[in-house]
Amino acid sequence: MTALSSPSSPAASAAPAGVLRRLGGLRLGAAASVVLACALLGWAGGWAGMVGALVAAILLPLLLRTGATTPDAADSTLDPMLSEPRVSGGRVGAEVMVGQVVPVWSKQVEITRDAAADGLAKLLDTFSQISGALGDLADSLNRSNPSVEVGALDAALDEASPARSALATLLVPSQRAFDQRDAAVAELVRCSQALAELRQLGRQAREIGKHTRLVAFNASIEANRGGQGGGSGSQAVANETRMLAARMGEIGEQIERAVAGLDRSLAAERLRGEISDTTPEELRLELDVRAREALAALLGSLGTALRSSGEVRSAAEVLRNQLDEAFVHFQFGDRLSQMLAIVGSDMQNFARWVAAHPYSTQSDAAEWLANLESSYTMEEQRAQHHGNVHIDRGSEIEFF
Amino acid sequence: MSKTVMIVDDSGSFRTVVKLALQKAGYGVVEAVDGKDAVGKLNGQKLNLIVCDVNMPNMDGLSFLRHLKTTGAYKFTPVIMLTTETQESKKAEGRAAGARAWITKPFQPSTLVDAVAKLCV
Repeated sequence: MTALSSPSSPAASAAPAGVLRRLGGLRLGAAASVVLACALLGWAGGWAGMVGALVAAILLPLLLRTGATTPDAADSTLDPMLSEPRVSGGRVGAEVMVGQVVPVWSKQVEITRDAAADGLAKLLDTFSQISGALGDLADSLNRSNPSVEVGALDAALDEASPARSALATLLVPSQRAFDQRDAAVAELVRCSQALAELRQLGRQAREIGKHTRLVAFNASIEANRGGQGGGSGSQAVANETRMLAARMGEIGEQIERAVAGLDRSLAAERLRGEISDTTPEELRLELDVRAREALAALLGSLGTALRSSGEVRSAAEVLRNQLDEAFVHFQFGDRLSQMLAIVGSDMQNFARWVAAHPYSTQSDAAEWLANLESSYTMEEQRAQHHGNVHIDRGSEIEFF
Repeated sequence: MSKTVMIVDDSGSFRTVVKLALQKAGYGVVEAVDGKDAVGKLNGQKLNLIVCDVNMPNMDGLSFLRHLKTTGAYKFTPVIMLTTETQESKKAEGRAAGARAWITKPFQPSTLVDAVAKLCV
C-alpha cells in the first residue's frame, strides 16, 4: 500500500505573505475596486500602471478563490473551539491548528491500527488453530470409517474372514472338553463290561457253591454208609465241604449284588454322557449362532456410534466452511488496518504540506484530491472518493 | 514430496490466511514480508509457485516479478499476483511482467487453492 506524497506548490504559495490575509474579507466588490484602481493606473500611463494592472490580473482569481474559502465561510462548519483567532505568535492559525491537531489524530490512528492489527493477528491465530483441529478431526473421522451396511454380519463371519479363524480358536477348549468327556464315557463302557464279567463270575461262584453243597451232601451219605472206620473222617470232610459250599454261595450272591449296584450307577452316568454327546459340527453351528447374535449387537452399537460420528463429520465440515468465510472477513479487517495506515501517513503529509504552504487554493485542493485518488489501490477507496457506495467486484481471479 | 509455494506479502494476516489454505491443501510454504525479503530467501531453493502482493514496502510485487524473470532458476516459476489493486493498468503491468494470474483481495481461500493447483509446476 502506498501513501500520498505532497503535491507541488501551488501558485498561491508564491503570493506575498499577508496580502491575502489583508484582503481575506473582501468579496467581489473589493476585487472589482482593485481592478478598477489598477486599470486607472494603467490608463494613467507608464510602467507603474502596467505593473499594477499585471499584479491585479494575477491576484484577481486568487482573491476570488480565497473569498470562497474565507475563514468566515469555513467557521460555520468548524467546532466552536476551533473558531478562535487564527493568528498566533505571527503564524497563520490554520497552520498552527493543523500542526498541532493532525499529529494527535495521526497518533490515534496509529494506535488504533496497531491495536486492530494485534487483535486481528491473535484472532487469526486462534481461528487457525480451530481450523487445524477441525481438519484433524475430519481426517481422523474419514480414516476410521468402518462399514456396517447390509451384509456386514455375513461378511464378518465369512469363511475367509479373520473373524472366522478367531471363532475357530474359541472352539479349541470346548473340543478338548468334549474329547475328555468321550474318553470318560468309553472308560465307563469298559468298566461296565468288566462288571458284567464280574457278575458272571459271581454267578459261577454261586453255581460252584451249589455243586459243592451237592458234593458235600453225597459225601455225607457215603460217610454214613461207610459206618465205622473211616466214616467219621469222611463225615468231617463232608461237613467242611458243605460249609465251603455255603460260603461260596454267599460270596457269589454278594458279588452279584455289588456288581448290580455298580452297574446301575454306571448306566446312569453313561446315559448322561450319551445324552450330552454333541458332535463338533453341532458345536460349530451353535457357536456360529451365538457369534452372530453377539456380532449383531456389536454392529448395532457400532452403527449408532458411526451415525454420531457422521453427524460430527458433517458439523466439522460446516464449521470448516464457515471458517473459510471467516478468513475472508479477516481480510477486510486487514484492509482496514492498511487503510488506517495510509490515512495516518496522508495526514502527516498534509500537515507538512500545510506548514510549508499556508495559503491553499481550490486548485491545491483539487491537486491533493487527484493525487489522493491516484494513490488508491482498492476499488472501495475509489468508489468512496466519488461518493459511490455500490462496488461491482466482478470475478476475483483473472488468468493471463 | 509436497510442492512448495512462496508467499510474499507485507501483511502478516494475509500471509497467515494464505499459508493456512495452502498447507491444508498439502503444500509447503515459504514466507517473505516484501520483494526484497523474497529475493533474499530465494537461495536457489526449489519453488513450485509464488504468490505475491503488489503494493509492498522496500520492493513492490511488480519489481520483484521483473527481477524474478531475469533470474535463470526462477524464470519459469509461475507467479500469482494477490492484491487489493484492481486497476486495469496495473493488471496489464503484471501481465507484461510475466504474472500468470491476478487475484483480487479479499479472496476465497478455495479460489486461491484452485488457482495454485492449476498453475503449480
